[in-house]
Amino acid sequence: MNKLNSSHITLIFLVFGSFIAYFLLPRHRPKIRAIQRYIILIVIAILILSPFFWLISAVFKDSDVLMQYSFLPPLSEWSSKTLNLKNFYNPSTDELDSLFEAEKTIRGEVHFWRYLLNSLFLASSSTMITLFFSSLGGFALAKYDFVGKAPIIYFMLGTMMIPGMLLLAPLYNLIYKIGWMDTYWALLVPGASSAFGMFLFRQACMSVPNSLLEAARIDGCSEFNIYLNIVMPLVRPMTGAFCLVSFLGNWNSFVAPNIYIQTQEKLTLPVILNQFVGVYSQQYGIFLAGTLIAIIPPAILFFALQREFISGLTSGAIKG
Amino acid sequence: MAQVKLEGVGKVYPGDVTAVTDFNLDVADGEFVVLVGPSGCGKSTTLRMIAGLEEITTGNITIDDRLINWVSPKDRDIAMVFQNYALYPHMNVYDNMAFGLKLRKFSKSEIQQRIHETAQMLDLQDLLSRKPKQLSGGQRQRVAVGRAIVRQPAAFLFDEPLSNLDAKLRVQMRFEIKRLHSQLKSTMLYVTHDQIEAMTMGDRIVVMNEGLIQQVSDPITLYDRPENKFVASFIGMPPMNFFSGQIQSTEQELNFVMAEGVQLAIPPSSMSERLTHYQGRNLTAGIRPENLEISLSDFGDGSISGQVDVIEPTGSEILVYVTLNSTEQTIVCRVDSGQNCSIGDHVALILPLSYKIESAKQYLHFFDNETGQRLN
Repeated sequence: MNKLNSSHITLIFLVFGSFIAYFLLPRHRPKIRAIQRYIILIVIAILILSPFFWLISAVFKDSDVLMQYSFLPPLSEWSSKTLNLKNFYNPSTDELDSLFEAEKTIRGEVHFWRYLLNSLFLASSSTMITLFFSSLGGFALAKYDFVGKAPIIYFMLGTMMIPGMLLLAPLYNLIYKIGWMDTYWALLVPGASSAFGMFLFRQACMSVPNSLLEAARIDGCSEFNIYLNIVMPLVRPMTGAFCLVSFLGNWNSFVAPNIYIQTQEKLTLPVILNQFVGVYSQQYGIFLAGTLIAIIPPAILFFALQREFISGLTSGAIKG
Repeated sequence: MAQVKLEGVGKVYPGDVTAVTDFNLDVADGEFVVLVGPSGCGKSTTLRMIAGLEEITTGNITIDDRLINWVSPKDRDIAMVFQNYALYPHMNVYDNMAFGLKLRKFSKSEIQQRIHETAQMLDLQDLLSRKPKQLSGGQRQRVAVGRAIVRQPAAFLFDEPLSNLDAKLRVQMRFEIKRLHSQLKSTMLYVTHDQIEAMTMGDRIVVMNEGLIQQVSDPITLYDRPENKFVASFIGMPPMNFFSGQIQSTEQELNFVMAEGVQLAIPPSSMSERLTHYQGRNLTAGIRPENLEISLSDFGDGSISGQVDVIEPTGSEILVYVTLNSTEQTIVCRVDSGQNCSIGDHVALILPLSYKIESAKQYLHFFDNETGQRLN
């Protein structure tokens, strides 16, 4: 651990040293400044990536050597204990000590993939539902004038100030009374429209010129068609960013599935991963293996949506 | 092609802001009518009411005798070209033009045929696969016009379509729209604040100010016989010069006596019965810049003296701005480029000799000081 601390301290010194040097050194030497910039970026990248690298190196180790090395062991100490796939799949034992081994419940066996699919289904469907309602709401608030529009916007923004945890008890009570306990409705419906999302889409829709909407109306578009065929393609960068944020929020959601879902085969990845590290048993190896797999879908989504962030899609629409 | 009729149309925005009042206009089938006026005069609002983009507060709008007050824009069978093009940026030129046709469930082959015909007409064949951001201003405007043409609507509405183009391109597009009108023979309503555009393009021109129609007539009448002082000052570049004074009669004739003390005999061509009733009353006389001549020597009766302030050569002619000695009012004259005068010269402004001839056109325009209405 001392080794780890010293390396961290070294990195912190490097970052601060580079920053100080960047601002103190003469500015008329572009090459030197470019080198400084790269050094700072490399150091920050190392800081960000080191926990991820630690996770990858830990996943392939046995539990008893997990904390022995900060990252990977020296080449001379490499063995089947420091590099194996036992955390994922271990056919040699009968007990549950690998991620892909089926878990025995009262109603039968539950496989890890089931939880992954549950999480994927919930995160993607919730994202789609929230995207639809938030963008529709944002479009209406940006492009239509109606009585009470301003109070609605203020009320909507006001709800964003209330911490989510504060609403947990009344929401639990409501869901219990509706009879949605242990169903996915409890996870999908309350988050169907997001004040944050509506506000984001309102801002994005406001940048779409009204003349485009009017041209579409004259061309024969219905209001929903305008939303779907004109506005949504133009707010694609915002849609991409919102999808990513919403998917990550739902994918990592822990509290709601933990309290509303009781049946084992309906649980989601974050809840299951938490079960690996309990009071009586700590299976860090399996926990880290599960975490690594849990990172993959959001990472794929991030790279898929990366191009959506490119701004300036509306350029050329109007004279400007 | 269609006949567009507006009867008593008015628009009042929330907060009691009146944009258009009692607008009456009958646009004949195939006619090119231009709505012109200063910013905020209600011309665009009128066009948007015809398009269905603004609700009307009073009156009726009919297209081919069909009342369209509450008909949605898509069902009015009109096409509109916007000032800022309003091209869909995520679609290429072909899709921009096809969008309206697809929504109206035209067959693929029909869409293709119409687009290719229109593209040929507007020289857009090579641009069909391009996105709007890959086009120049003029090309974008042509696509916007093309998008309107493919629909083959009953009437075309143009909302200041050339105001974002540079001067050279504007002249070119002006010509192209005019040629298009003669090819399509469609009813067109065109809004502009540029009087040159209005004069060169319109079969008839509607001059508007503060939400009211000031005059509706053909370009030549509008220029030669403006119905009020506003039209006289708005139409014409540089604008008409105005002189305040009184009508006084002598034994043989009526004279206009300016505040400067200059006395101008009113020729028969500028006379009217109404004017004779204004004897002894203050009124305003207007003279177009091209109807004034500059003399460096003739300081006799009927000449207005002043000092040359600014000279603007425009090529074929020169605009000379003269500050009058008596009132310090600035008067502009349009003279031949051969005119010999320079800044600081003391000059006399005189009416051409022909102004007294009975058959000569009206060089003097008289307006009531209170109502601004034409008196001769």
